[in-house]
Amino acid sequence: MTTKRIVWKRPDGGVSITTPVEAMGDETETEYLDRIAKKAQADGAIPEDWVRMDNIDAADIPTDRSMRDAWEAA
Amino acid sequence: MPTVKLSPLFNSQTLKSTGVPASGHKINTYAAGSSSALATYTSASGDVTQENPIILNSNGLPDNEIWLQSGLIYKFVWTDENNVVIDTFDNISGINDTSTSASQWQASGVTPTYVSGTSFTLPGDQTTEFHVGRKAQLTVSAGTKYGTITASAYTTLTTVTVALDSGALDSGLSGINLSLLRADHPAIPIVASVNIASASTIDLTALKGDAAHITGTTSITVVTMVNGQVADVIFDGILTLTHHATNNNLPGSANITTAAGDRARYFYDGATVYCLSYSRANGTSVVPVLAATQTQQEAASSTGVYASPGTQQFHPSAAKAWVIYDTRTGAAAISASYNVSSLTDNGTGDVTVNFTAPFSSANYAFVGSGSGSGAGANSLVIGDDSTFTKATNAFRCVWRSQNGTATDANYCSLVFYGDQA
Repeated sequence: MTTKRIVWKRPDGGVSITTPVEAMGDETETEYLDRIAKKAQADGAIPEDWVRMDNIDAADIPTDRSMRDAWEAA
Repeated sequence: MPTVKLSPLFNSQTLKSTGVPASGHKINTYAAGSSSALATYTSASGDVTQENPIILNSNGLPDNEIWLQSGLIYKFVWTDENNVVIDTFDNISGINDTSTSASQWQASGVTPTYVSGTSFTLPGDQTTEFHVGRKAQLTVSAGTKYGTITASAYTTLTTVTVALDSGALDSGLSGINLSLLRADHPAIPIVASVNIASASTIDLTALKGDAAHITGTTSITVVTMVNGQVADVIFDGILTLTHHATNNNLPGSANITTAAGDRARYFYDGATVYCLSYSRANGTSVVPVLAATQTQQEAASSTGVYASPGTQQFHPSAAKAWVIYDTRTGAAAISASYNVSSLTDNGTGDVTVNFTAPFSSANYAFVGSGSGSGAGANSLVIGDDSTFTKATNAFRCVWRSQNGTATDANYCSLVFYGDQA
């Protein structure tokens, strides 16, 4: 299980954050995150025009969600 | 002239209780267990019939040797000269007469006293002959009863308890015969195992014991047995047992390929040779029950297969995916899930579920619930947003409170039902 999250920048300026759920196989963490991200894109869960940003650690995500819809990707 | 055998009784001197020869005493000969006179003979040639009764001479001997007809069983009644019975000897056959067969019931020689419907007493200590487990034939007013001795104890009398095959003893209890075979040391031989070579027809009729090894690898199509016979066989090698409706009726009505150590029990009822049971040496079933396929699970109609852990989810009644998560702090945190590859947090109350295994179409059902907070959030609904997505691979929704405001919540649960690809 990884603590990393996949960050996406949407065309509307907002941010989506993907939490991998599927078990990690015989692969590196980076390969695992890439696989999850590619599957989400291939399956349409993530639209094609969303831009993938750097992966971040879950601990670095703000805990206060009162302004969640105003979050932006730096 | 009949073939005769020398009588084991009264061919030697018979004495009175006073020790003097039983001169004038009489030997009456009857058919065993009856009062029908039965002739004896005066010599080994069997051409002269003996007088009946035989009168013992002054030396206590018969004037002629006593010879019994081969194949017949006699009863001897010894009386004094006034026809007072001194003793009776039943079930007597000639010496070395192998053509006779003994009754399976032997006179016990003791007189029972009725106690109850299941018990009686006997004079003296009779516990040796009347031992637990031995079968008994009992004569009562209602006829003949059969049973098994279940208790036998001696104090001043021997008290015997029996479990009757049917009915009960009555006060007319008058006689008891005991089974020829004892229960403590039965004269039943244990026959050594034999080997029977496999062949298209194997003959179990000559089986000396109850079991045999089947050697070789030749296929077996016919099993020969005698009516009522039961036999166990152990297969030493790999061969094919060919099913046949009457000659080799196998479980599952299908051929069986044996493995070394497999075992089977056969029975013939006079019409069909049944393989009553077949056990694999490795403990598996000879006719295995198969796991349901995805198609069988989805059809939800078969009762001849079992739902395995690997396919049970394909049944229409089973959830195909589910996830529980919390969006109150940070990014959506997943507590547990099934068939979910990832969960994407898109904003307040807004998530996308990516399925691991997709649905076959978007025509699937979803159920959602959660624990909200704040005004109107005690009744969460999934909003009809423009971003709402229900695709085969993914599902996106926004949780909203009763007043329509997008809301983060705890214990957000989504469950999906439908047909998987």
